[in-house]
Amino acid sequence: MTESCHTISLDSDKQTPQPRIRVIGIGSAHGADQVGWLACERLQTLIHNYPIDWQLCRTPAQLPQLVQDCEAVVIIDSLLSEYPAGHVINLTWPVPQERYAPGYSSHGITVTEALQLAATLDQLPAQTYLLGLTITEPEQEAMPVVDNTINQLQHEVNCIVNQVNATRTPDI
Amino acid sequence: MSQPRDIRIKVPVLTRVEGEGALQLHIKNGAIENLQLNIYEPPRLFEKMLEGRQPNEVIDIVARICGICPVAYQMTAVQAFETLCQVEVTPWVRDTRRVFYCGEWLQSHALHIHMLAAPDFLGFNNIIEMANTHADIVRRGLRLQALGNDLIELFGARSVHPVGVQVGGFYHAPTPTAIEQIIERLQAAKQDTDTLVRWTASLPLPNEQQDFVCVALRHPTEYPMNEGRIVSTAGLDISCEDYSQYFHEHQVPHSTALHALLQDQPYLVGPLARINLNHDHLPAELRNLLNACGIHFPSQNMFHSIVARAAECWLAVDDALRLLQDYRQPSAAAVPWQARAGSCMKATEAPRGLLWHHYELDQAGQVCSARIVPPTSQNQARIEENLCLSLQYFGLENTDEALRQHCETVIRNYDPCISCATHFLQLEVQRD
Repeated sequence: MTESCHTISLDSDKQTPQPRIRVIGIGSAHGADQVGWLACERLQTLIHNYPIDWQLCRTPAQLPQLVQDCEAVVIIDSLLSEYPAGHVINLTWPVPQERYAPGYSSHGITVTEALQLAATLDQLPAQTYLLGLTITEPEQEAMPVVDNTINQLQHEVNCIVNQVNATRTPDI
Repeated sequence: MSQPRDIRIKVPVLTRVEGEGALQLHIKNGAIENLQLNIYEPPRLFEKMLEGRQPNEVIDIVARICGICPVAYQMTAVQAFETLCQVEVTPWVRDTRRVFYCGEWLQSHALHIHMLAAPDFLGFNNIIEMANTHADIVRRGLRLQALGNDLIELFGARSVHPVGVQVGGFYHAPTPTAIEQIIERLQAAKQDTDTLVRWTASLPLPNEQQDFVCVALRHPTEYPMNEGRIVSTAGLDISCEDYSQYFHEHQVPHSTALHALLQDQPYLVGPLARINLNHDHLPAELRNLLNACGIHFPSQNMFHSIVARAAECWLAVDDALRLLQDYRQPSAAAVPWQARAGSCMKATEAPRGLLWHHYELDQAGQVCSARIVPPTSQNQARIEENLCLSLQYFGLENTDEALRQHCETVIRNYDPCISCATHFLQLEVQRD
């Protein structure tokens, strides 16, 4: 199941330290909307050199809670755009409105609106990245999109990890 | 005196609701000529997909009907199968299933109150605007929503489309340490739900009395969630098995969701209907709190739904705390069972109201037919009726923009879940 990228905490007895980088795949089980989850799952198997908190998100309304208490957050979502399918578009927050048109979303709250809300509430990390995986139609098969983008996506996430490490304040 | 206007208002996409719907309103000579809540989201055909599936597969599939209320679908299905297969669950399973359901009520209600409904009553266009001046209130909403999600995850392995439920119980019992951690958070949330009730009661809600019939489950000793008979404020008192004798669904041209009627009349399901029919089962502390706030149930003011939701958040936290207080991890999280052929029906109380399932299982224990009646399709006729009455009360002479905004407020007050409602398509084949 695609949801295996979600941190499952049935036996979450151990107190884990605050994660520095959180990667959140957004999506659902339908069509190309699965891209965010599938990409998150694949990345989890590829990136081992840094402890990342992997999360799955179904509704943008959950985002304000999910993005808090970490140094950097990377959000992976499918992006219906004019680009051909299978590209990674790196949208560093805040995203200019013209680059991320408002769309229809669960409960009318889009990803950008959820991030805007998190920012208003001072819950958004200073380093927030939106990685959009381009699709051309909502019914598109998700796996080929992930296959085509995974190398670029891995590169982007590694760059972000390096950037976060470079700006890190040493622990006292 | 000015001439009555011919007003046509079309809201092509309803915002701050789950799923895709629209509204058409035509006012002619100062009277409502036509009002239709259009649900145009494509049918999702879940009932057909369930055919040929085993009960435990069905439990996971029905969770996919809704991203907001998957627990309701799982609880209704699993208990239907358990009734048919004569499975007696342990007290541990019964209690923890209620906690599981409390999680869903909490997250769904907290989301609706703070992010969807409250901006309407406070004059904001959306939650982001509201957060600029009411940041602490919005944070409280998000905190409660997250706690609800974490309660679901505790038993369901994840909060979205959980996978922890099986016939006979759960696949896994949380450890006492995990329970201790959530108890700490529930204790902290008591204050939040207390202030939430007070805050919703203080909102400038319209005082609009309407005559409507409420339908909900009723249990002899507890506020209904997983169990009870179906009752109404008009005196109905039936078992889940008799549901289809009294409630009838029909298709209307303007909606892909069926309209359900009780003896040919619209009716209300959901938090206000539940609390109107079960206020005597609320804890005394909560009843006193509501009284102190000047809110008295039963209420015929539909806008008291937001207070009912807040009261149910209070109850969900209180119930979860009570049921987890003496938690012991069982040696087995489920009891064994054997599939049987036959027919089974069950209703539970989803956050948005009564949810009814009917399954037929064959000799191989596979589903040969399924029927699911979600709350939103039951409320659809009532929403249209409410809109007509409420618009007249509000005043048809108001500007188009004010009328549009009022219509949206009335619809959102029901927290309609359109995605849940559109899973049926009546196919009519004409052959020459």
